[in-house]
Amino acid sequence: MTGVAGVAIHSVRMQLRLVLRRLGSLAPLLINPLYVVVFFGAVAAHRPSAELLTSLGLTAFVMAAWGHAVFTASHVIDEERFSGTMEVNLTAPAGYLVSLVVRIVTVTVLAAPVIAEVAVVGLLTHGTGLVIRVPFQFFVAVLTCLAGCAAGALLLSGLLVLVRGARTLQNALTYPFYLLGGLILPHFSLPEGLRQLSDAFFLTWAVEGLRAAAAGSPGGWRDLGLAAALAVASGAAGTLMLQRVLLRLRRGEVRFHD
Amino acid sequence: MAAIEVTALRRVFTQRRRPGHVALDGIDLRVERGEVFGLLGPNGAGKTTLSRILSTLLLPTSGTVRVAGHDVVTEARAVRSCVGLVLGGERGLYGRLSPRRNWEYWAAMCRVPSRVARTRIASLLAELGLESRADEPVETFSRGMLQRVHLGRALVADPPVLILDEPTSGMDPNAAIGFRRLVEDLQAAGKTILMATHDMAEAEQLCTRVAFLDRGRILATDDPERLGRALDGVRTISATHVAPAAVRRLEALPGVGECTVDGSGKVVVGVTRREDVSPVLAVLAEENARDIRTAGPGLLEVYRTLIADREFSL
Repeated sequence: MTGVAGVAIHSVRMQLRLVLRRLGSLAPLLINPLYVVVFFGAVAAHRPSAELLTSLGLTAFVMAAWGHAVFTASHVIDEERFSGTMEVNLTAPAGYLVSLVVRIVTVTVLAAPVIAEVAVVGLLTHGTGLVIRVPFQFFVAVLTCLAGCAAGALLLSGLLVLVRGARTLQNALTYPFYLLGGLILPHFSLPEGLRQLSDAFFLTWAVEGLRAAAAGSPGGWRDLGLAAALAVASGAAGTLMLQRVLLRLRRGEVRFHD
Repeated sequence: MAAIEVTALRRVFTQRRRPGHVALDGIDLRVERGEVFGLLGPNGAGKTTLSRILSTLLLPTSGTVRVAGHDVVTEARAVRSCVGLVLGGERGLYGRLSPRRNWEYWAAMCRVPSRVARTRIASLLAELGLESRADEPVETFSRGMLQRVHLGRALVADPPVLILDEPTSGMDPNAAIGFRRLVEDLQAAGKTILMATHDMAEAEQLCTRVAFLDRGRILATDDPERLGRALDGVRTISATHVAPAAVRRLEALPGVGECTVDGSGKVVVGVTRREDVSPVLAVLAEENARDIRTAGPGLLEVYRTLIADREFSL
């Protein structure tokens, strides 16, 4: 198979092989059950309902997916630069940008099994897994959430090349964003100004959509639509930024090696 | 049509609040199809910058560069289809992947159909002697083997032009000899090869022509032998079966700087001027010496003459 599809398929395979040969890069996903245990433990004394546990479990899942995107997926380009493969791959006739985007998405999607981790921890600690009222909508919500996280990783990966000290910013992209995305507090309770910022963040709507799908409450599709639109917008911005990074490398404005 | 045509190429690296660094300053170059062309010069001369522009990794500041008839700025994609870049050392490969997986990925990036890629990879593994390690991570390979993986990667797409950037740097002598043999095979197969190297012996052995670069300018371009002949430097004349009396006659000749004899009667005479060669040859012929050979200055002498020794300064 040749063409864009061929590049995409080979990129997925190659990225999976790279990950499998260094499982340590998935370590943050193994830490996730600990978050879940802490969350579930904190409410244990109050005899939590299955719905509350589900909501907490989904929060842990989104935290893991976003953290994985910020700390692992965004490093695909950084590693390319460090190993010198970026230099070589840029001499390929076509497809490097496609390959980079596909590889970043591949790494982000590897956070999906965290959903199962959450369910298992729920079963073990409270005797109940995740309660999902509308499974199809929930499946779409999970995909939207992962797509948004991948878009965030794309944006960040460009920044890591262009902006010196961007790595220092990485830590700031987790907990403040959990707050901004309505993971810790409902986003409508955020102060004026911050709430408007939260409205423009895909995670806010993805989390609402996930919770609505799980609870079967109305408005879930609208939230997912908003999350998808914002994810597409940040994905487009991330791809444009990557394109710009590659052009700046060719112009010699950014160094190939760090 | 030449394989590579460079006209008035200039590349300036601008830095904030500092005057730009001129890496290439008015380069004119023409490499014919099937040539092995050497780029020689000290560190920072502009060899790597030129290699990167030819492989579309860098844009020129001004001037025109054409590879296989395509412009590197306006037809970058077409140029990339014609060029294989071979880096030296451990960089440029996915260390955790095997040669086969590295090459498969590259073949996909070059839009080589999977079936063609599989066949080509199998034959390259055999040709490059990597069959037994085809599925081991390349991070476990020696320098010589890594270089073969680099070369194989570039050859998977079967480009007509290869750009080798210091391909034997850090290799042990046997690996370097093996690599040179591969380059000779590629030349015989009709590939055009542009090779940036610090190794003068390698350039002498492989290159049909070389260019000396220093501070972004080409100082000389010609075939290695002609460059050596043009240089009025030390020439050596050697011969065997030379009697002691003949050695004394040689030492007495004007212009003979050095005359060494080993136990087997082999003599090596050094002269500095061209006109001093004939009297030495005449004496050797009169004394019935055998296996008489002359050698002009090599590329190393040309290098040392053209490029001032800046020791450790840049």
